[in-house]
Amino acid sequence: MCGIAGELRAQGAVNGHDIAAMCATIAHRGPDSAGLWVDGPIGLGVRRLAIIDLVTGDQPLSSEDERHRLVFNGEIYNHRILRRVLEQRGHRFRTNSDGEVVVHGYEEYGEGIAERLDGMFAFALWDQRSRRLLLGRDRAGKKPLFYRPGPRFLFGSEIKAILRHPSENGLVEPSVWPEYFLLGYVTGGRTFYRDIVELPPGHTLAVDAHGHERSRRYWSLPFPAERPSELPEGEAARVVHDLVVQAVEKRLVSDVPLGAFLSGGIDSSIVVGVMSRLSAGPVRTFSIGFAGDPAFDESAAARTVADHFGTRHSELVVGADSVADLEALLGAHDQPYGDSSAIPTFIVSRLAARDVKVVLTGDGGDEVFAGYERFRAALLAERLPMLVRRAVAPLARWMPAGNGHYHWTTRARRFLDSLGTDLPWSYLRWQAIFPLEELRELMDGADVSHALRGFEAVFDASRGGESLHRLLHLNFSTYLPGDLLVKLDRTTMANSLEARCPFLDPALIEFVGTLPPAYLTRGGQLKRILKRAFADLLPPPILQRPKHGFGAPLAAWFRGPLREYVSDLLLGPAPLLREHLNAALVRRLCSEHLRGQRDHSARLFALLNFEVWLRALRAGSARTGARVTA
Amino acid sequence: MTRILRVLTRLNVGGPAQHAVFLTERLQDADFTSLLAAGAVNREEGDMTWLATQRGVPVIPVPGLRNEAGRIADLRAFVNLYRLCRVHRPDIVHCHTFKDRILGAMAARLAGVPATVVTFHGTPFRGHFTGLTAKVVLSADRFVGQRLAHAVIAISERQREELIELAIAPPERVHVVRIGLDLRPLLSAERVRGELRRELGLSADALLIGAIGRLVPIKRLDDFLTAARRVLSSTARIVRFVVVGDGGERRALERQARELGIASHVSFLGWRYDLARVYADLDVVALSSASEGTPACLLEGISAGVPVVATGVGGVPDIVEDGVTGLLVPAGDPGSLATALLRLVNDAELRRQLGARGRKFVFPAFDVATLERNMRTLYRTLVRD
Repeated sequence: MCGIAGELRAQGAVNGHDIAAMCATIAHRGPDSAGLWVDGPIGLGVRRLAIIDLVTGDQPLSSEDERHRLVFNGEIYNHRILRRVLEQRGHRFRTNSDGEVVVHGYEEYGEGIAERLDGMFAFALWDQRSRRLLLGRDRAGKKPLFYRPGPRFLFGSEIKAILRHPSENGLVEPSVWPEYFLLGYVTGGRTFYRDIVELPPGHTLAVDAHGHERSRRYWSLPFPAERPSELPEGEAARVVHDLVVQAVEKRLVSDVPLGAFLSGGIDSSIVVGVMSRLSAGPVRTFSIGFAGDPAFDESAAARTVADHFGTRHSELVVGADSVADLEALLGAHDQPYGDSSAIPTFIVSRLAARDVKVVLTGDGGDEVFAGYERFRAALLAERLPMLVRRAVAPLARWMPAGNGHYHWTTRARRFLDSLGTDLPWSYLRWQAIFPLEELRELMDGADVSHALRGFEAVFDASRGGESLHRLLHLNFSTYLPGDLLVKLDRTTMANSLEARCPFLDPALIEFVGTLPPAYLTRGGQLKRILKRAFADLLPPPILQRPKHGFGAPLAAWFRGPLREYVSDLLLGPAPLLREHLNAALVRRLCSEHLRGQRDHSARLFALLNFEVWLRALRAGSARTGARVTA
Repeated sequence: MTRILRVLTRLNVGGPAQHAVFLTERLQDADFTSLLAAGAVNREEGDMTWLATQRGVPVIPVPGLRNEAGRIADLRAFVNLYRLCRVHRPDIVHCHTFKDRILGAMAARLAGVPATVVTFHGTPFRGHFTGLTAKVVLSADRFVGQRLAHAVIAISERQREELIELAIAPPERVHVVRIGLDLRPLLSAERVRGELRRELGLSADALLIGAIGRLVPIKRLDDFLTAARRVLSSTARIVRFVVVGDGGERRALERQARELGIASHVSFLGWRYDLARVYADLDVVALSSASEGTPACLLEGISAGVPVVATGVGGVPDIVEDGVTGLLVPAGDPGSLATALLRLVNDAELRRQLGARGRKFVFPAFDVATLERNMRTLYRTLVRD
């Protein structure tokens, strides 16, 4: 796994120091080696974490005639097959690196190489003869790729690489703030910086020598499927089983030690179970627990699974004694990121990185097999007649405010609250950090309707589909690339660890897309087909366990060990956010939470991120680089 | 942020190439970025580009830059160096060997690079060249040191004095920054002990004496072989010699070994990448050079706990104290070299003592981490001024 960066200039020559500086900012993504290639208008850089082909896999890779140069981040799971096909067509490979198939594949198929790759990747390929740079990103958005358009076209695996370039002034884009406070992330490839955008998943982008770009979508989620499957449920479950096993097997290819995150939930347990079946020795598994907080502590369940499969299990029980952890996490992101479940992921990544370089995870299982409660709730709400819903919804206000994310009153309140609207808003209510009314207040009464636009556009695109499919599509296109995969990439890469997600396997996703919605969820049961497919693999207590998010007891931490940190940042002498947000509301939320009246931890986390980001911005603009004056 | 463009005539095997690769690798962060540019390695020399590849250090090629004289190639190299300075706009150009020192410093000045640093890894006007060539080389280096460079780096105190004495640069601009090598892996070399002996088919009681370096005249390996002959004829113990390295002299040296009748006792191993394995099995490291800067083989040998016998040239006395951490002999005197080697052959206790004492004199003083720290400090001063 690696980090890449580079520049394409319409005029003048690229300065190698600029590329080296960009790469230095993402050295954590690839501590093993670096690569740099600069030639006139083009500069490519890479930091490499050696996973496959430790010896000859150094980058940039080039074609036989050196016409094409490639920097590549990720893993190609079908590289052996592609390589065989390409070799039969006369291509000669110089290395054993999986990335080299992109170079020869481009020679053979042009841009079409992207759809032939099965894996997680972000790449940049320079075609010397046609003076063209091609960027590409995997289907689900596992590997990040940002760019800054223009006559000095810049790209990088993380925003910080682009910000480091001397030609980038890092102007911020306040129009994305409302969406951030609504969702915790920003949709549609926009970022907190005016000129920096993200290449959307499943896209390639061709940039010519003048900096003109043309993007192409090479893949989209097949919901609704063109040809729905007519397989009986039992048959379909068998196919799901086989596809999951294959997806895990593909991801076990590695020249370095490999393990798995284990939460005790269904998805990671299936991954670990399948790994155990496929591996000769015991699988290395990693989990964390939270001392004294049963609502969040899944370590007992993880241990059950670990014992069941006889894994070599490492467990770390954490408290919130370390503000440094939180700061390190915030530093791993270049812009505010509102999902506090990044905290446990960050800690478990650090734990795993001590022993292995690669982990398999259960991420994506909820996306593909409809595992979120918000799906069930939204679908249930949809069944009730609108009149009933409108009548019942106001009851939400009468419900006592539960103190805890999984408390039944909290959930009931949220459900009642979501009844008053249609899809996808009833679904959004489950996710929203600041619901619309509060968002307006936070933004000092500004118009925040545009915060919903990205969301609406994605939902509209699936018009005509089944409700569940539409929700899955919406979640897959917004939450997955914007939140879940960002969390996974930044937290693992900050610890120089590679994460692989079998449930995001394209063959699996495409098959599940053909199944009737009832196979996925029926009678209030989520992930039906997946549970059926692996009923004989998992220990029964795990199969029957209710859904748990991978969260941290943030509410308690904010009232306890992190209390001072939170107060200092949000209430202290001069929070920067008060220049942009309703300071009175922020104060109220803080004090309500700290006094234990309400659980505002998600909101406070989002605000905290925002404040830390504003401070970093200010510090950055004040810093002046040392220059030689002699 | 300070941008360094590091220039090396070629990445041939030896201390300077390692030094340059390590510095380029390590000076990449929020304070510094580094680029490494080098010419092509002569076919007869050992190529150390593999180290750059292994450490993930990209090398920017400089067409025309090479060690041999040649007016057209030099002009080409000069133009290319100038171009590199214009494109990459470094704050500091740092040159490490003779050719790049001359061409690089001039190109940097002409291109308006704010600061130029030159390191003298050895003193080429002594030993390498003679007569008129030596005079030309000396005046070229004086021109660079007096007129072009903002800082001149000597790799030892002794060398600093020499550079000042030869009027290469004014004293206030000559700094001492010792070279740095990746010595850590050698500190635990004993873990791989026995592997080289097995490869050579040697018994555990045989003594193994090694010379490591480029096979070029300045290293005087002919003296090493002559000394080897004397050692073999004066002891009853089983002694074997290895020569690790390659170069233009290899054939002549192999012929000499045959003529001396010691061919079966001397193994020419060529270049080896598994240095820890080599040093782990050596009982003595020998150095017969006529001129040296700070020889890498001594630093490596001492780090691995191997006693050394060396000619007391250049910076050698800075790392070997005669009779305390090793034995020093005069250059060009194979008789003395043989006597010193015999002393060690016959005295296991002395070998143990010298080997044990040497380490703390070279580590961490000559470790790459120390080098990095010192160089950062020097660059910062330059940038400030």
